[in-house]
Amino acid sequence: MSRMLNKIAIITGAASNPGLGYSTVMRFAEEGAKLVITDIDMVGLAAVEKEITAMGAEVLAMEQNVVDEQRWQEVIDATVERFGGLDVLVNNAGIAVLKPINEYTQADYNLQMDVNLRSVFLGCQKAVPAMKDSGGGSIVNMSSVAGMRAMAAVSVYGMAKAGVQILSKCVAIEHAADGVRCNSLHPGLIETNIQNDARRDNPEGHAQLGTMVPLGRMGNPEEVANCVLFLASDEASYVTGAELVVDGGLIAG
Amino acid sequence: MAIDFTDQVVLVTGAGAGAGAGLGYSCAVAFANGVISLASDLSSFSTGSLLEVDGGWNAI
Repeated sequence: MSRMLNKIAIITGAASNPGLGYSTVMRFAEEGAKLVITDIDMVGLAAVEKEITAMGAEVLAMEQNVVDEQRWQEVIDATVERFGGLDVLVNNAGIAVLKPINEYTQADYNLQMDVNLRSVFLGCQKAVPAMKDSGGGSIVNMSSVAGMRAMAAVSVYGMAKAGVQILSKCVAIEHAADGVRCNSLHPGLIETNIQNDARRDNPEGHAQLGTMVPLGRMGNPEEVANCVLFLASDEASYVTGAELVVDGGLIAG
Repeated sequence: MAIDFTDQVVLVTGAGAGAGAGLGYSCAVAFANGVISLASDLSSFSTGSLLEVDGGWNAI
């Protein structure tokens, strides 16, 4: 109950249930964190806010488009004003536009790079000063195994996620002396709303996905959230510039 | 869900007192945090992976 006691944490993309952000919010709330949760989906976010408030967690819910630089600063400022500092940032918000390279439009490309990579850069850039003022902190950036292994129809998504991996290492090195840790987390096939959409679009193909995983199944969001919790907490105080793969062994071969 | 090793049988090698402050000793005495995290059910979907605990040494 106390692995995140009184830690002040921002989690983006917190509204989608089932989703990695939502599950991370739940785990952080269970462990005593003070939470700032953001999303573009204010209806979903209000439901999450209500749920964790009932758990006794202190929470501030804010609408946030993560590609908006000014809004990032507003979220950081509101966090400091409400809770007095910033200890943890989980850059979770993301989208997946999966299609063959020759079918991508420039708009597809820009949207995916903006939401999945530029937003993470902005989050790190805006969060670090507040973390330094708080005596240090931990940033967990949601990447993907798609950023580590080439796959069909995943080109731009994988490019963005690979960018998140190296960005995380750069942040780790640049701000180690400030007491700010930064790591990337790389989920594989996880049962989220994104996968629900894929199942709806291609049920037969989707049913085969679990068989690709050495553990014989897809993961669930809670299994990813547990690893986010570890990297965010002081238990990982000597872990920075690292990547943690949570994929049931998918890319171990 | 908390870290819970109740009723789990754990084999830790290199755990004798002669290991001094090495990882084996810390596992036996205090359980290194990263080892705990990977050993527990909390990392139930993480396998075949590596976790660097090096203060950023290998990130450069």
